Amino acid sequence: MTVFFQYLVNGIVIGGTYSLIGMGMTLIFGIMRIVNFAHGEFYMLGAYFLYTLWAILGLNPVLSMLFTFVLILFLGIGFEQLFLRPLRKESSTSSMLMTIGFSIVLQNAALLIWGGATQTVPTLVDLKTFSIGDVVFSTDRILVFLISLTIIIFTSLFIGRTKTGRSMRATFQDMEAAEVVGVNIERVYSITFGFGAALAAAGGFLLAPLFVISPTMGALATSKAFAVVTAGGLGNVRGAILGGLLLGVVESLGAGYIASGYKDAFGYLIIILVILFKPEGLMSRKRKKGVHA
Amino acid sequence: MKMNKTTTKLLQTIPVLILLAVPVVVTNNYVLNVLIMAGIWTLLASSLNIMIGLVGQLSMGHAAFYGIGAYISGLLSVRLGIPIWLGMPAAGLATTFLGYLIGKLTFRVRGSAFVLVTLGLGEVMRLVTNNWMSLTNGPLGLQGISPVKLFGVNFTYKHYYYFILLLVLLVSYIIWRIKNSRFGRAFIAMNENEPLANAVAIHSERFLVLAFMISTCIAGIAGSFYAHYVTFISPDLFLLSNTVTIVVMVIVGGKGTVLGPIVGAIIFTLLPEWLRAIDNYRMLIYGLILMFSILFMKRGIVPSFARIIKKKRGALHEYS
Repeated sequence: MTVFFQYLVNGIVIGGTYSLIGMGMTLIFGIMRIVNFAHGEFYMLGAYFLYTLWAILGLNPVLSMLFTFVLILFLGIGFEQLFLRPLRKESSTSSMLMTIGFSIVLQNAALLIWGGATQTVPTLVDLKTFSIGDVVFSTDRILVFLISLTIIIFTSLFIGRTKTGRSMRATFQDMEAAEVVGVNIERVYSITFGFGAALAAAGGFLLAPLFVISPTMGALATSKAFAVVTAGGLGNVRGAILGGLLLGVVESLGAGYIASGYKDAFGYLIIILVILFKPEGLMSRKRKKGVHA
Repeated sequence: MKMNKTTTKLLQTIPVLILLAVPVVVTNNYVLNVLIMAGIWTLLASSLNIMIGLVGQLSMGHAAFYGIGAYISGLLSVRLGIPIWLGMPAAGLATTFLGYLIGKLTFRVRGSAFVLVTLGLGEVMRLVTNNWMSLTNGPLGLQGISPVKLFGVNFTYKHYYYFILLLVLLVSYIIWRIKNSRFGRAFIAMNENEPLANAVAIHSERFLVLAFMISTCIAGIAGSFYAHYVTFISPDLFLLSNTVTIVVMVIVGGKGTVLGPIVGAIIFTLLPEWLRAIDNYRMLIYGLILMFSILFMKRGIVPSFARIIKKKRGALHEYS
């Protein structure tokens, strides 16, 4: 039973970062109606920016994270304005292909800049462990979970309480009506994409000290974000938070009890099962009600 | 400038005759090998074109079906000694069936779900082939697949060339027929306005599944050919970069046309051969090409050229 709780705790810690990545993707999908295939690459860049700013340049880790968040925010906004905006009138396939193209570019650019070898990022705090009962907790993992939680709360407040957040929710519910009452749709799209990308990057810089990082790590993150978003219901932010925790726990238990080699396949299992039995997402009741804070 | 029908038809057979004559003129095995690979990529691009170009669904798992076809045919050969003449139909049937299952599963929700599941399939297959050591030999790959043999003749490059040419012509003909049949018109109708298509009794889900089955069947056959041609396969076949390459071929060549994916496949098989020196930049360049062709050349090479030629002809008519 101890082992079970240990897997559960590990799963929840990782799941918190999956929630972040999933929230970013579900925001982009909910508002712009496109699946962002470059999502994992923003996650990868988050990890590499932290690595460069902190592990190489020796900047303060908290500042490095803030910088990374802002840099990816603007990268996302820039990409949206230059490459997605001209495709607004086209079918969504064009936009999806565009994000696929961008993901290939980012991944291979990273490969050229940082090389193909995996890198390690030092842990954020001195590594100490303590235990409650027989379940072991480590300081670095707890810190990761706390930061994820903070960002999740911050994002919820941003969507729920600010004017921009309100515009985003209005656009989600009815784009045309929102435009009629004076919401600047183009601005909402840009901010949504940038913010979604920055959330993925946050997932990346939080997980970076726990795992090794490599330029190809994004592909897996994209598919995990899909799993989270499918489970939570496309466009459902609260669903994405729970979906992230669910995926973290399922992966952790699956790797522990079934087969660790297939750890990364459990996400697909979730996708397929959800699509089969509850295509609107696990959290949905009858109809989606809008972007919930 | 007007040509009668028979001359047009005769003109159309010229490219085929040139293709048939290639091995007579070209005896360099390296060149033949490149052409054979171009043929395999043509099969893949043409079959993906059915999804992207005709029914407007983005399948991101095409390499998975290619790989599955290769592994089925390869395993049958290595483990049971079954030749390609049984292995290829088996590979085609298996991928068709898988296409049926995935189509049935995902076309209920359409669009993004289809992209997700097909994308995931490649990753899952790579995990399975990497981890199932006893069957697939894992990351080391499967060696010693029997080369093709027919009536006691061991295939050389020349034979493989004719074999793949036959497959390419067959597939192109099938796609041409689909485009100009009831199915093709249904596909186009669905692509343009699905509710309306449904209203005139086009059962879109059934057509989508059917289109996907044809598409995956061809990919499986291409995989089987690859396995017996190269005689070595590894889980790298399932890499997303392979799917991306096929997508780039279709988009840049011209989706929805018979000729487009062929042109795309030839360009993107030859390009890396010439760009060997900067192979590290290849995927980066592909990504940029994909992005900028979506922005600036939405239709792709073949339809763009066709338009220019038509315009010129139109102009000539005006003057003559």
